[in-house]
Amino acid sequence: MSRYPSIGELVLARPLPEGALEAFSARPARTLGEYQQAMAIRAAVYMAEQDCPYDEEYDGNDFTATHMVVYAGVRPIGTIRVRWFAGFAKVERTSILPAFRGTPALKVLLAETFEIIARKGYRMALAQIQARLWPTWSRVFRCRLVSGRQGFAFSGYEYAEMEIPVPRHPETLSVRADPLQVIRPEGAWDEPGVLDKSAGRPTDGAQAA
Amino acid sequence: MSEILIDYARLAKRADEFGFRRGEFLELKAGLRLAEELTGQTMATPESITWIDSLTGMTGWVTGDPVDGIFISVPLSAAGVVAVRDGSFVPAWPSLGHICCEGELCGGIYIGVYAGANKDARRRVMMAAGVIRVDGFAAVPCFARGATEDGKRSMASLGFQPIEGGLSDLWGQEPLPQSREDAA
Repeated sequence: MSRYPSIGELVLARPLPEGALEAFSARPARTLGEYQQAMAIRAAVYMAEQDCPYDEEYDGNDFTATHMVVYAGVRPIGTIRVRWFAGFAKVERTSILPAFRGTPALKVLLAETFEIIARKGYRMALAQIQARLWPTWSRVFRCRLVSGRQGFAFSGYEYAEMEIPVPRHPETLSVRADPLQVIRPEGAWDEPGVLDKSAGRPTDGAQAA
Repeated sequence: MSEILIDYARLAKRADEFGFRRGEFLELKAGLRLAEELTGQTMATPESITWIDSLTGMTGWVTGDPVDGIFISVPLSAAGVVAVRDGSFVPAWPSLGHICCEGELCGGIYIGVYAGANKDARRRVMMAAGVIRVDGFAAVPCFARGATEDGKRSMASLGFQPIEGGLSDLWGQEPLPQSREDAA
């Protein structure tokens, strides 16, 4: 996105590598085409690579969630899904196409995702991770396993819960944010949107009830 | 290794007595810029201090309006103390497991930055640092970096000594002897 994700970056175990944001970019899926990009990546990663059944991958939560897509140039190469709960954001379905694993693409995707999570005022994120992947995720995030909780299993994998503290964002979009700012496209809150441009048009003079 | 539970309300009250308050983001930004100018050293980013502060509840302290003094204190977990001593602690980007999050047991304290723009601000910074150390964290070791000659002199005056083998320019002070009243 247009601004450096300086708050979202803080959830990472290491800062973004130099040049990462020149090579990769990430933004929320805002159009049907971008949504389909996210779904296609997940089909490749989860259904093809991990043999996940279709009904379990597309579990009924996709149309109610935020999807972020990461790009190498114009090519969509990874995605993550975020769902919003009382006091925490749940991050899930993180996937990067095989050719781009080990590149900074994942870190860019996560930094931009957590920039949005922080901007919305959330201070905690939760992820259910395949238990065998805890050593890997603990090197990606500044995170910890949720204490006092049993592991659980679904879709043929053992899972654990991981929590990721989210920093306080100095520019949280609160209830008193600029009314035009909060109706801009998701994640593009700092650039005038199409409705900003319409604000100069004459109004019908009616007052709100 | 001894560990303590931090009394956050008492800490804030003591800091307030010396004119210190938890800094907002822009105040921390101003304070860190001031510290960079005074020491010639690169500091942690205000974003990073905000991250640490939001977890510890006691990291980013500023004084003056506009800000003329800053004091950064990072409570450490037991693992964090070990990391400071062996050099694996990263002050500008610490691991979650190295810091003492609010309500957890604290194994030590790391003083990241202390700087004042003028004589009065420097006096307040030194008083606050000394009192918080003695009043709130006497039972655990305290660490700081001697980035400048002035800083080293200040630490020596507070009873700190250089520590070999950990972070570069690391100075520290082991737990202070308990007073008779505390031990009773």
